[in-house]
Amino acid sequence: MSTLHIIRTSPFATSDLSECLNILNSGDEILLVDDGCYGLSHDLLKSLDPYSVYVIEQHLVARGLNAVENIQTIDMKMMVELTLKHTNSITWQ
Amino acid sequence: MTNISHSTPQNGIALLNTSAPFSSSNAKDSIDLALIFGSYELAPSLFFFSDGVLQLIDNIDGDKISIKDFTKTFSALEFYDIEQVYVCEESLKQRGLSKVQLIENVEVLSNEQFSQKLASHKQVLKF
Repeated sequence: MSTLHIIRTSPFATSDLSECLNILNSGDEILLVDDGCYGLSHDLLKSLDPYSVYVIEQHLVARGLNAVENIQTIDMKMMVELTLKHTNSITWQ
Repeated sequence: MTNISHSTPQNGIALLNTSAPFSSSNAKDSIDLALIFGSYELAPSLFFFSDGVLQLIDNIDGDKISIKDFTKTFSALEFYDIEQVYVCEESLKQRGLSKVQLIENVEVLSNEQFSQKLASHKQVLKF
């Protein structure tokens, strides 16, 4: 049993990311999409195992952001695979 | 009558931007309005605060997510005589950004300078 947490909002403007981290179980993974990409530079993310965090490359580039070491940039096809890998997904938006 | 004197605001219109570029239509509405004011020779001052500073990142590319990239319009501001563009330093820092990552011709101000500058305007519209 594991959950994919899909973050769609900026952690600087909303509390979605911090709420998500409060209920994170082991085995869960986090996917940053849309404004969630801004989370890459947020301190909250530094407390996490980087290998459990993914970000959509297209959304990152559109916002003029750079990839961060150890955080995996993926495409839409891999996003679909991620949703299948986990039992459940929660979209934070 | 009280003796407290308030200094009269010296400047005209300020647009206070606090939204990320693609999170809502706020950012686009604000720049559209700025250009409209500009064409009527009412050049507003633009203030970028909180997530608003994310609009000024240099290499934004809305085409990647099929959004018409209005942020390119920022380079046209000087043709509308809009030259007062202020950015909150604290908001930049929180987001791991520095001035070099932003578009040109913006002025980075400390929190205190930023709020004083904002207060020197007669009208403030927040987006």
